[in-house]
Amino acid sequence: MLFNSFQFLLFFVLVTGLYFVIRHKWRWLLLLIASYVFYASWNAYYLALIATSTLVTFASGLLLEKQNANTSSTQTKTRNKRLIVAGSLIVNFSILVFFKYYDFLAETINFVFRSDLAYSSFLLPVGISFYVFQAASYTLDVYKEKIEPQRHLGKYALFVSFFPQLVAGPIEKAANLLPQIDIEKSFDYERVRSGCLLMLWGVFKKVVVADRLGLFVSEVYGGAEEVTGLIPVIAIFFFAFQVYIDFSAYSEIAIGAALVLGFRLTINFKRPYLASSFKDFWKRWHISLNSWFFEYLYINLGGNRLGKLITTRNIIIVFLISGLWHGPSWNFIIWGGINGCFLIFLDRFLSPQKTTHSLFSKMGRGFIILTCWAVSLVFFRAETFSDAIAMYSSMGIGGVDQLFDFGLNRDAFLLAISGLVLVYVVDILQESGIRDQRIFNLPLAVRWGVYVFLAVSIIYLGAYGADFGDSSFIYFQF
Amino acid sequence: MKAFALKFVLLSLIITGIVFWINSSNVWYSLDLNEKYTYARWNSLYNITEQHDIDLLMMGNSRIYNGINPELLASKTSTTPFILGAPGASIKDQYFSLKEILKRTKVRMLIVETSCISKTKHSAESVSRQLKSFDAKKDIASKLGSTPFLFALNHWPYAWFKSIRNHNYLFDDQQDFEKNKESHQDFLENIHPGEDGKYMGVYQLYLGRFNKANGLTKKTLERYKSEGAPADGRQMTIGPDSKYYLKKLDELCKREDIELVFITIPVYYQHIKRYEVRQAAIADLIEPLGRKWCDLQAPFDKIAFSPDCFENIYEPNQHTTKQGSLVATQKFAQFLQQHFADILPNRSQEPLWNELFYGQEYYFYKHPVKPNDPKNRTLGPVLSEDGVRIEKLCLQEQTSPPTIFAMVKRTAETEQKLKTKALRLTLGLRNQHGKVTAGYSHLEYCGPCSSERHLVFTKTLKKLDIVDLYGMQFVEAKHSGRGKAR
Repeated sequence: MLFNSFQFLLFFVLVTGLYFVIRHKWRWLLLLIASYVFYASWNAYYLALIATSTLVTFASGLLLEKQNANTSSTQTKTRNKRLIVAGSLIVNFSILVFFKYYDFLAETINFVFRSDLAYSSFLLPVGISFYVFQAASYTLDVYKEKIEPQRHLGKYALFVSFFPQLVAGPIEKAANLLPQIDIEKSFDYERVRSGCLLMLWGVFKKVVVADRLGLFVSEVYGGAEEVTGLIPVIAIFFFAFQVYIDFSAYSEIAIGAALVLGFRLTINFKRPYLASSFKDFWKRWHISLNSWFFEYLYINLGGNRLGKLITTRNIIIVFLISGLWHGPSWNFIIWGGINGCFLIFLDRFLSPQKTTHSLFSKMGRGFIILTCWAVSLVFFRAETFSDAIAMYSSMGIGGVDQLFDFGLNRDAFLLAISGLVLVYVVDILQESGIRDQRIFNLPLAVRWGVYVFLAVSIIYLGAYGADFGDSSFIYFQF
Repeated sequence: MKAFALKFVLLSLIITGIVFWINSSNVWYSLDLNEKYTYARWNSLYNITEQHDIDLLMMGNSRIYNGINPELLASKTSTTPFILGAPGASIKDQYFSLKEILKRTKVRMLIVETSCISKTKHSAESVSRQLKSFDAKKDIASKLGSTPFLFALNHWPYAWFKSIRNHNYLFDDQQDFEKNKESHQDFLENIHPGEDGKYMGVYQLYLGRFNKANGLTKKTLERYKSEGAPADGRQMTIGPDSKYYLKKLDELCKREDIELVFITIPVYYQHIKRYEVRQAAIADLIEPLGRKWCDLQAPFDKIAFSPDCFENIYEPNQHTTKQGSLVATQKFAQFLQQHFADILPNRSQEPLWNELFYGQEYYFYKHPVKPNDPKNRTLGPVLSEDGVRIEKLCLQEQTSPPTIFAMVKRTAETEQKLKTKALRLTLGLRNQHGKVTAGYSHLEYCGPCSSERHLVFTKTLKKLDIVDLYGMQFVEAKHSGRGKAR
C-alpha cells in the first residue's frame, strides 16, 4: 500500500474517520490494527518479524527496569543490564542481518574463500532497517535510563509499527513518540488541515516531479554503456534531485498523516541542497537516521573527543555503516565512504569562516556540495560496481541532441524541470522563514485553487499507471 | 470536524467534477477494433432486449463470437440467440455481465465457452482486457457493484475514468487527440440507429457475431509439422478465481432457472498438444455441476473442420473463420436439439421473432447484399408493372433454403390492396441444359415476416438458377404458383 496510491487514500480516510469517532482509550488499538493491516498489504508473513522485534525489545525494557530495582551490587546490575541489551540487540539485528544482508555476506564469503554458500530465497521485508533501528533505539534509551520502559505491550507495538512512519521513517525515538500515544487528541481543524496539505504536497512532489525525473534516470542508467556526453551528467544531477524529492516527499506524507492523527514526527529533511557545508548537509539530510548514528554509534566510538585521527576514523566508520544500512552491496559502502571523505577533506575549504558571505559564494558552495553529492550517488543508483564505473566513463560533453530520447519527450522534460523549480522555490521560501501555514491566510479562492491545482496535477501530470510499473518510494527498499 | 468533513467532501466533488469534465472530451481513448466491437455488442444487446428475451445467451472471450454464427443457430433452433463475448474475458467477467443482463431480459440458456475458464488475476494485461468489457457495459449500478470484484482497489479510478487511465497521452499522444476525437465521433454516429433506416452502420454486429480471419495456409500447416503445436493443454491452467466464479455462475443460473451449458470452440487439431490435460481439468469443474458440455475440440471432426475453418495464425489462441463458425454452429445446433429440444422454445411462428430476422430493422435489412455478390442479389427500390413501389427485392441464396423476398412500404392503401395478393415475378431461369427460359415465381404475403412499416412477400426456393428479372406484377394470390411465361 503505497502512500501515492488510491488504496492508501481510502485506507487513510477510513482510519482517520474511525480514529476521531472512537474513544481515546481504544485509539491505540485502532492504530495498531491499521498499522498491521498497512504492513500486511505488502507481506502478511513478515508481520512476524515486526512482532518478534517488538516482543524482544519490549521484554528487554521490562527486564532492564527490573535490574534497576534489583538490590544486587552495581557491578552485577551493570553486567546483567549489558547482557540484556546485548541479547535484545543481537536478536533484533539478527533479523535485519539475516533478511537483508545474508545474501551479501554469502556472496562476499563465496568470492573471497571460493566457497559455495547457498543464497536465501527471502524477499527483503519492506522497511526492516527502519523499524529495527527504531526498536533498537528504545532498548538503548531504556538501558541508558533516558526513558522509562513502556509497560503496555499494545502501545509499545504501536510505537514500533505506527503506519505513517513504519516503512521508511522518520526513525522515531521512544521519548518523542511513545508519550504522544497517551495524549488524548481532539480534532483540531488547523492541525488536520496542515497535515492534509503536507500530504498533498508530498504526493505532488513524488508523483509529478520525482517519478518523472526517475523516467529519465532509469533510461540513462539502463543503457549507461551506450549513452555518452552530457546526458549521463544530466542524469546524475536528476537522480540527486529525484532521491531528495522522493524521500522528502515520503517523509512529508508520513509527517502529514501523523499530524492529521495528532502525532508530531521528527522532521527528516531541512532543505539539504541549500546547505553551506557537508556538515551542514548531513544535518539536513535524513535527519532521523543521522541522529541515530550520531547518538548510538559516533558518540559511543568516542565522537570527536579523542583527537583528530580518531574523529576521522569515527566519521569514516559511521559513513561506511550508514552506506551499508542503505543496502547490502559494496556500492553503498563505497558511497558512504566517499561522503565520509567529502566531510573530512572538503569541508575545510567550504567552511563559512573561510569563504565570503556573498550570494555568489553561497551559490558556489551550494553547487560544489550538490555536484559532489550527485557524483557520489552514482554508486547509490548503479546496480553494480562496473555499472557505476561505466556511468562515470560515459560522462562528457555533447550529445544533447538526444536529450528527449530518454524517457521524457520535450513536454515531459519541461514539466520535470518546472516541477523541480517549483520544489526549489518552495525550499528557498521555507529557508527564508516563510512557513507553509501562510497559505492558510490567503483568500479562500486562492487556497482552494492551490488544493485543486495540486490534486488535478497529481491526477493528470503524475508519472504513474500501467506504463510506469512500480513507483515505490526509493527508500522503501532499505 | 463536521466543517472539515464538509469541505473535504466539497473539494473532492470539485476535483471529481473536473475529472468528469476532462473525461468527457473523448480524446483519452483511441478505440481499437476490439473495443469498438465490444461496445457495439453491448449496444446491440440493449437494443434487442427492448423487444426480445434472449433464449440462448453465449458468453466467453473472442473464441465464442468468432466461433458461433447466431443467424444460423437461430434458423436451426428457432430461438433467439445472442453472443456477448468480450476479448480476453474471464469467467468472473461473465458472472457480472450475466447479472447485468438479467436486469433487462430473461435468459433461457447460458452457453459458456470454456477457454474463458483460465487463470485470472489482476495483472496489467488482464485489467486492460477487463476494461474493454467494463467500458461497454451500461448499467451504472451493476458496474459500481462489480468494480470491487473485477479490479484491484488501485485500478478503480482507471476503470471509471478513461482520462485517468490514459492521462499519459498528455505527453505521448497529444497529436493523436484530434484523431481520437474523430474516431469516437465516427463510432458514436455509426453505432446508433439513424433516421434514414441505417441501423447501426459500420460497427453493427448482428447478434454479437464477428468474423475476420482467413483460413490456414499450407505454410502454417507445415509449421505444425516442423515445429509442433503452438498451444499446450498443460499450460492452460485454471485459477482459483475461475473455479470460484464458475460456481457462482452455476448458482446464479439455478436461482434464475437458466440452463447452463458449456461449449468448446475448437482450434485446429494440430494447433494444440496435450488437449486431454485441459479437457480433464475442465471436466473436473463441469461434471460436479451436472451440466452438459459440447466439446468440439475432442473428438475433433477432421472432415467438417477443414483447415479453411481456422484462423491462419501460429500463436496459442486461434479463432475460427466464418466457415469454421458455420460448422461449429451446425454441430452445436445438433447438440442442442439432441439434449434440450424439450426446453427450448420454437419461435418460428412468432411475429416478433420473425421481425428480428426478416423485418425491416434486422438482419436482411441491415445486411444488404453486395452488388457483385454472385450468390446474393438485391434490387430496390423498383416499380412493379402495376405501379407499386417495391422498396427492396432480394434473392438470398445464403439462407437455407434460398429465399426470395420483397418489401413494400406499409400504408393503409397498400395494406388493403396487397394483403390478398402475391407478387408475380417473371424471371429468366437457366434450366439443367444451360438454356435460359422465362418462368414465374409467386411471392406470397407473409404476415409474421412483415413489420409495422413494411409488408413482406416471400417465397422459399428449391434449386433455382435465376439469371434475369423480366418483370413483376401483383396478382391475386389464388393465381400463385409457377408456370411458363406466355
